[in-house]
Amino acid sequence: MLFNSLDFSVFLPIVFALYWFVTNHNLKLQNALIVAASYVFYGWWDWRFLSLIIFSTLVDYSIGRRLKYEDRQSNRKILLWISITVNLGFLGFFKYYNFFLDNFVAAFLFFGQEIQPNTLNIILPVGISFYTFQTLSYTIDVYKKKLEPTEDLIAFSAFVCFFPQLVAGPIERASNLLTQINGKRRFEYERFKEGLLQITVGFFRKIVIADTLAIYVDNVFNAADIHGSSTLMFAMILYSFQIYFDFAGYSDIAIGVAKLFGFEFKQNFNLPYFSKSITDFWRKWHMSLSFWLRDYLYVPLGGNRHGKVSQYRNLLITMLLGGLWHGSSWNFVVWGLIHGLLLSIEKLLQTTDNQSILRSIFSRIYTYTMVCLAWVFFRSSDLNQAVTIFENIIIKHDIDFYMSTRDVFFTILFVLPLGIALDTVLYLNKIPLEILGSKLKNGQLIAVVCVLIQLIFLFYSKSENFIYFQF
Amino acid sequence: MKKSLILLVQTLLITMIISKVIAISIAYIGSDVFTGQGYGKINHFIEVKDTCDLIVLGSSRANHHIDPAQITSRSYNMGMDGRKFFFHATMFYLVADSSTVLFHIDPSDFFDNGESMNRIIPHYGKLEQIDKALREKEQISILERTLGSLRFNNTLLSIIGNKFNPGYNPCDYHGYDPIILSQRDSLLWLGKKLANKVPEKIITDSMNQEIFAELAQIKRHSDSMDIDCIFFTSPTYHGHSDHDKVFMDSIFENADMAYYDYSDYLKHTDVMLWKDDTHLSHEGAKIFMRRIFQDIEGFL
Repeated sequence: MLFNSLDFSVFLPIVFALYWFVTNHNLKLQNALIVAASYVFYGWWDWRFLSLIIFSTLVDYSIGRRLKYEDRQSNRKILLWISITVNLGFLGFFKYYNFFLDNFVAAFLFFGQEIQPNTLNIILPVGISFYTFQTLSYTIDVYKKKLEPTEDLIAFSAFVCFFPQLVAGPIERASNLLTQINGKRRFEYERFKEGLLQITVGFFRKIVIADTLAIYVDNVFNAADIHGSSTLMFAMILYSFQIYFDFAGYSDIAIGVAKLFGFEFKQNFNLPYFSKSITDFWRKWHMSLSFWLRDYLYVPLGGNRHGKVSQYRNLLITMLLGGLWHGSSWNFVVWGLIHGLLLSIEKLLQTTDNQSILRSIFSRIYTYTMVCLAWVFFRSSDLNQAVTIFENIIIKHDIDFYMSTRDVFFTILFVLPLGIALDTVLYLNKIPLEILGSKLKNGQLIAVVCVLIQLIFLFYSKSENFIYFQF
Repeated sequence: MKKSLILLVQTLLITMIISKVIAISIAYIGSDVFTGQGYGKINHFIEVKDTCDLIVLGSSRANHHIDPAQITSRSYNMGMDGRKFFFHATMFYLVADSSTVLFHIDPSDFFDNGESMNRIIPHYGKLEQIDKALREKEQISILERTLGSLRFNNTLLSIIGNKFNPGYNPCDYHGYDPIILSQRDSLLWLGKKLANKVPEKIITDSMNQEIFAELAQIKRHSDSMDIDCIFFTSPTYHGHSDHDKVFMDSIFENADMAYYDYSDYLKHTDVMLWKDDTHLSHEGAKIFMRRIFQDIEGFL
């Protein structure tokens, strides 16, 4: 079920009413409702893949319980590896089987051997990359004795499949979400206000800004070879905003919906395009993933504890795998590698956060430019297309600047500055969107929400999906 | 909880009121907007339809291929980019008695589910025929009917733009938009776009059966209102498959309606007569018009 569907607009009030008016007196019942509603939410897309979530839930729940009573380190390690193998095994099969097979075949062909492998027509289950990481982090935390495993299967199931963040995150840690699931939730007026505003902003960012930009960006990238430098650069800049508003919009809706149910998710985006460095960017972009990669990959690899060279290596490995997490294609690997290299260079040059105003402005422009250029690899269908785009940007002068339709072009020029202005206001006032709703008076909140709703009515655009659903 | 529900209800009520006010304001602003390829063109058509003897209906292929003013100044080309059968049918029922209609149709029109009628939604409430068509084809939702501003989705900027800066003089405009090849359309570029392609057969099983009933309705309406409705398919660079041509001929023969198939006319001709494989350039359109006007002379 998509957030921007009619189905969800019916689903949400029903679940909300049952949650607060019918099951509120019984925590177990309320958690059971979360699980049932989340399975309906997921099963709406394809019920067959529910079995994967349920299996993954049962495996990590059982391993968590066994770890609680297991003291022998060797046995604990075996249990941890079972969890890692099962979770990454599913992920590897559904997401990377054909990718590795194709590359295997290509490698053999390179050495003159032709082989005929069995390729499979595999459907990627929505959200598998997200809930796999969520369950893995639970088991790793329990293994490291940072977290007390839960005995309550329903609560654990609710943690794995809670519908607002099931299909595209934020990737919540058990220490945050499971603790809230285990405790009694209270409906709070201030939190409701925050949720209402964040959901509305999320829809505005997604279906007004991102989906309108998508029309232009898709048209240009789908015929990248015929366009020249100015059109391609414009499309590249628009894509940087499309992916930001698409994913941040989704996260806003997820966090806002969770607030309506009395939950607090961690912030997932913190105005990343205002970052002063690539390091800073990764502290603000898809924070739940970047912190996950830091804590469960970069630090275990050694982090910065074994000297500079080892640190650069760890950064490159982490970002490369982070890139591959986004999709089974070489362009994602290259995208991750670019970020890994940029992070390593920053560590080498030891840039500091204390900068003069001029240097601070330059740093922001540099960071945005680098991020923007790297997005070309992320958006391109393959490496060849990315190379063609860079070639055309450098050598192909535009005869006609491509404008798409007049309606689309002017809508972009109208709504994109609105989105940027909202972010600028949040940045200058140093106030996260997550709590803005509670800071506004009722009249102000109603006015802002009503204006945003009217903008949505007047400028929404239809799109099939959220970009991050494919990951 | 009570406070939250009150806040929610207040927000929804104010949204509804603002939505109505915005809809009325946009409709007022747009009432004399007659330019632009979306809202303005339909507005213009509604304004002039009763004074026209010749109307052209269809997609962008009709829009770019037929200049009805070459026959009579009392004419209008209501061809519109991306529109399909049910949109054209809705426009057809607005045409005045005793006029002639050139109705462009392609095999792909038979798959229309009515979605392309979305361009008419902002005009809901103007004419009974429009309201009826939108309701019958279920192309307007309850939300769009009640929350007025929702009907003007993605039209506001176009309305304001054309209000204050009309791109052309509607008095001299008959709906035809010639395609003048630009610098980008070099011989090489056009040749690449028009690279060899074998026309595919349409899959008749998945066609929308409602279209056949609508065709019969158009026939009845034509007969009762003394309208000469002539269906035609304009040229394509690669032509249509034999299967499609036989299919189209049989449909109109069975329906006892006039139909002219020009899909093979100008097939694989000079690339400078084309913008792409389905759109003729102005030069190509001039050649095509000479042919079609000659063929339908008896109706005019």
